[in-house]
Amino acid sequence: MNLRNFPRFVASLVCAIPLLISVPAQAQEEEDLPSLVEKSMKTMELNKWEEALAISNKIIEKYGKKDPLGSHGARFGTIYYRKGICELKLKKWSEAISSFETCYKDFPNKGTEIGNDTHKKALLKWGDAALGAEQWELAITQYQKFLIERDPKRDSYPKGAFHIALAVCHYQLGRIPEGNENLEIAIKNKLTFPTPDSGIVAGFQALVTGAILKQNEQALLDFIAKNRGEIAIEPYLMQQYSHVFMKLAADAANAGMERAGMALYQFVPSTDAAIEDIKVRLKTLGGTPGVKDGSNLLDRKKLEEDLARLESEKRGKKSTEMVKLAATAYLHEKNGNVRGAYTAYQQLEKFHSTSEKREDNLYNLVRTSSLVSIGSETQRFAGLFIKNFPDSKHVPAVRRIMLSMLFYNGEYDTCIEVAEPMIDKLPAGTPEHDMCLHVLGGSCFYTGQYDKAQPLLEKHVKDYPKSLFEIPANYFVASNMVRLQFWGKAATLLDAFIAAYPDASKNVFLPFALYDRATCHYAEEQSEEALVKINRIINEFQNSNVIEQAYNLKGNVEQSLKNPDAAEKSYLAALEIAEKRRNRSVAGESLFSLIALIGEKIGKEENPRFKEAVTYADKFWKEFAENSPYKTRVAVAQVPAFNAAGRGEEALERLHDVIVEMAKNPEAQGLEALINSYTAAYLEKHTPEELKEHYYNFEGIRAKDLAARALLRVAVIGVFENDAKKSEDEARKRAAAAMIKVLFQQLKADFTVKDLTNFILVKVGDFLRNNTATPREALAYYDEALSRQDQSYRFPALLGRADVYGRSTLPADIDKGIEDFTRVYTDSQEKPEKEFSLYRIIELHMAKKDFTKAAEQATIYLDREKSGFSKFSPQIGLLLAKSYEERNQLDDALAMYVKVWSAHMGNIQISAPAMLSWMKLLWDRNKPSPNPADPAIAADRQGAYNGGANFIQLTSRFKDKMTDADRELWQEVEKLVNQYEADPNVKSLEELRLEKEKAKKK
Amino acid sequence: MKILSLAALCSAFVFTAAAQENVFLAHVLLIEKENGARKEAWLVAATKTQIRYRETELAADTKDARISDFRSIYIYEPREYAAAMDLYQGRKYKEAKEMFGAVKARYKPILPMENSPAALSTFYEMECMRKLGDLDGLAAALQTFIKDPLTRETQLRQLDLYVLWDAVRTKSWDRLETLAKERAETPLPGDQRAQVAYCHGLALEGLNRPLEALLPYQTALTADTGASEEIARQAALRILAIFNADPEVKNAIKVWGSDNENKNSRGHSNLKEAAAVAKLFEMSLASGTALPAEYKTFLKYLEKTEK
Repeated sequence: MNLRNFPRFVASLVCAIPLLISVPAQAQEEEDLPSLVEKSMKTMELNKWEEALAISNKIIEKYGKKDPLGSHGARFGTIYYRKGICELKLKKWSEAISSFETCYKDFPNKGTEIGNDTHKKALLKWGDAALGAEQWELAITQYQKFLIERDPKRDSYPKGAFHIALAVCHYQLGRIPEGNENLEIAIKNKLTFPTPDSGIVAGFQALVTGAILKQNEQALLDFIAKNRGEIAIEPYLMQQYSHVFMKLAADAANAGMERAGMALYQFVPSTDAAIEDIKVRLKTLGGTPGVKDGSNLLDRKKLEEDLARLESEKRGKKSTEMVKLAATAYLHEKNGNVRGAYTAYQQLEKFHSTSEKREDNLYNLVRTSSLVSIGSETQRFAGLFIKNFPDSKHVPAVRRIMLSMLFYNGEYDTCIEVAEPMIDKLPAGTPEHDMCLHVLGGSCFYTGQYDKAQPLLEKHVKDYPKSLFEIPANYFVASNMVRLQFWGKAATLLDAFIAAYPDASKNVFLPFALYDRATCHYAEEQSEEALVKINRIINEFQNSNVIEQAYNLKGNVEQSLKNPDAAEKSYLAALEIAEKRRNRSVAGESLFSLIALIGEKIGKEENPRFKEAVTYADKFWKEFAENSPYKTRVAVAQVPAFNAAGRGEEALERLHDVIVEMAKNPEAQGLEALINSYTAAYLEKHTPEELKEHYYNFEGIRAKDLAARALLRVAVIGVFENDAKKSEDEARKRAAAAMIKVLFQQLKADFTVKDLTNFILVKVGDFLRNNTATPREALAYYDEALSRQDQSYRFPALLGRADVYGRSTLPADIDKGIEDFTRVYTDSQEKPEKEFSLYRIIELHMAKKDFTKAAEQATIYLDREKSGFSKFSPQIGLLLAKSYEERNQLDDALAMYVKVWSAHMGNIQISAPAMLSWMKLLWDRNKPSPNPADPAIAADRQGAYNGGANFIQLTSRFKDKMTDADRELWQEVEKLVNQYEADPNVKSLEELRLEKEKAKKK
Repeated sequence: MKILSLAALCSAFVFTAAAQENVFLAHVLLIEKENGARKEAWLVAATKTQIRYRETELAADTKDARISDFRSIYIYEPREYAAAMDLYQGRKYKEAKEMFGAVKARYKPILPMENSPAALSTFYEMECMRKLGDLDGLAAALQTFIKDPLTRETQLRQLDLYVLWDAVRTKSWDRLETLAKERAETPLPGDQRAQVAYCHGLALEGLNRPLEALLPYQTALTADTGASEEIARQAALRILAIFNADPEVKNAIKVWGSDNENKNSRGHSNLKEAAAVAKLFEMSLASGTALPAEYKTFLKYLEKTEK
């Protein structure tokens, strides 16, 4: 019901009065006055208002033109009264006003004679007509006049409806207190007036409308607080006003009167309650048309209509519950209570999914669930939304919400599940694609799938440089490089990131980037630079989430700089913060670092700090061991301290227990170190054969703990390898070597590559590569290790694989070998790996006949001050010389060969080939001596002979000790020397000696 | 209508002397089965199947009849029952309870009739107890309550929900959680959903899972837009209590506005939610009850949020 309906409603209430109009005595004939009056009354009784009005007009036309008061007396006023009633019924408000005015003004009673018994009532009806015409002041005036002038005995009136009508007029004029006064009179006297419940509700509607118009929320709330009981009528009645209240509540909320809005929604009864109430009432009516109960009329027809409507609404798409819950959600969210809104949308979806607004409701459910961080629910609802509304305008937003929410809640696996199938379907260059790519790359990064993440992250940074996720994207791509251990590339990216986004208030990743950069420095042995970055974190980002890790890293750096005190201080700082923050993982790491630092075995002397180390270890096991990745390391590191404390058996038991526990987790890292420690401890009291027996039947290890079983076997192999290497007993050595072969064969036979940890894969790969005639069999082991997310033993695996490829003659294989070796050389933290890789890179370039590149790399290697390498200097010198030779740089080649054979003469494998090449080159150059008179400056051929002959002379004393291969090479030189000596132009060493002696004598 | 002999009715009614002296009369409209004829009458007593009535209010004699002989017996709403309902709807539960008690006592002679004023008053008297938090009283009332006269589904379901309230009373949290979770999956009118959700929240808190209780408590706030004000008020207070005790919220308060403030932290968002609930409490949920002083501090964080 809108505002305009109020007066009509009220008018309909007050019109229901008896039509007691006296009939003039002469009304006998058809068209005479009495007949017409009688006819008009009968017509009115039949509710034929138009017809009745026409009759009244006819009477007035016929009898009221000439002095009707004089002709018919005051009673003629009743004609106008009846006319007015008809006009009221026909909502002809102004005509009605005029009729009642005429009745009142033109036909007053004289003295005590009551000719016009409607004279005073005309005032009441005049008020009603004015109310209908929305002439509020006039209505109030006439109502008040009626109260003053009416005859209490004769002029009865419906008091409840009367006060409600007055209230409505006041409300319309914005006089809320006066309106309230009248409405409260009607309410208070509800039972005695009586005031029908529906009248009270109608009056209340007028109040709400008036309060909204006047923005007087408090007046409305005060009224509700005072009269709620009377306004909240029985559901069977209240439901008739549900839609009005819903509308008013929405109007109030939209007008900023949210408290009033919520209060009004609370009046709307549940559809179920209303339906049940109507059913009960209908049943009690027993089929009769209606019952008047107090001030209320139970109208069967109306109840049946209402029931049908409510049941239809309940089944339909727009029940009051649907509207109310959606409005509640809106109001809660508007006031900041997103979780409240979420629960309302949740109820809408769960119990009112037939709503015509389901699309919006479900979208809002997705949206709010993402805001209250209910990740799995967001995904479910988002999936539901996309399935049900694939063409909705909200679909892109839903996808974005789904992904961003999942991502920022750390549900990365789910993100990947969602984003992977989505990425190719989204048009590139859209915000959706931007987000999807970011989330997918970021999720791979966070789940440790660094290989998979890298191209995605790089693509995102390249394709969306101005993305909303610009800062995280640039951080991820750099940090991912750190995880992949591409230290150099990561360092470059991180430096660029830190320089581009230096403002920590805008870049939350800054401390993390500094930490990553420090890690790169540390990996590249740039300790001082690492400390600069770490100290920046400590000084500028004391509250960042990475601070405790930064302290641990600082400890590691200090330890590498041989500053144990500073390292300990840092570990303790890390421990303190981690404990406060309940960061159990970092606290565990700190404790491990402390144990490893102060609990180390120092020669044969007793370490005075063992006791402290034991205390830290005990703290670790008590407080931080559960699920800690440092369990294995602590179990290993604590052994010396526990042994010293007389708790060696406990340490061994701990190792055993941790081995058994770790064995159950195929992904567990550090198990090999643990087994090695256990092995060392076990071997102190047992033989390798006993160890083999013990490990093949290790207590607590199940048959399905394949990785652990394999590791134990490898440990046994390691023991026999050591035996084979170090034993002085040849028989023992041979037996050990034979055992190793057998054990490896068993290992290969009993375990597939998938069963083995990276450590074992590399170990087996290395064995196959170095000890068998089929090194390519090792590739399967290396490839498996390199295909895993687990980054452990990555470089040994790369190195092994590169070496296998490098031994091939196929150019493609050699390229693969160079690629892997380059990766190891660039990013491995192990110097021997780097050195070996560079050496092999040079070799492989030579094999590819890329002599320039080989020479470049060789120069790098041989610059010892910069590279710090020396292990392969002879080989690389020889390769460099060869590269000069191949490029016809004869002088450089000759100089380099000399350098090699002269510096490494005893290393026949190097010196002999260098000598051979040098001799040949010089022989072929065949330059004459620039000063033949000076025997020290020989011609090329004589020089070639001299060099070779001297080499043979100097090294011949080692001949017996040479290996067959060495001897073979040496003999080649000897042969060439003899060949050159046979040349008539070459003087033998003997001849030269004699000449020299002769010259001396002269 | 078949008029039964007094002898036949003697076994059906057990009138006490007091009842006869009190002249209990309930105004009804008898609608005859055969022809739908309507007849005013004044009941003096009734069983589930039979009535005894006077044909006029002042008649000396009574008549007895079987209920099944009528299409319906319309019981005019007693004024005191209407007044009690007004008090109940006006959320004056204490006064309403007393008045319902009086109606229950007065209309006891016709209690067994379908939806009799006594039966309805007994039901609403228990509802008043629930709303007033008098769960012991409710449990005691349920011992003697006869539900047969009630026919409204929502009222009968409410009787089932009293099982949840009894679990609240006895602090049987595990059982309550199971019951509430089951109920929460079924369609319910808003006021009953609010009850179930609130009980669920209590159970989760009782089981020391306060953060999980937030969702059911929020459901209790929204299910009927807070019309069940006693539920909404309590649920809002529980939400505020949970946030007040949450270390992450405490930390968010500590670092609010400082360089260490983390707007993406759970503590920060929970603090904002606490502020919003405190605001809604004052706005609507409290129904005039003042926000406890210990939670007023949350409103400070609302101001900044709004800015």
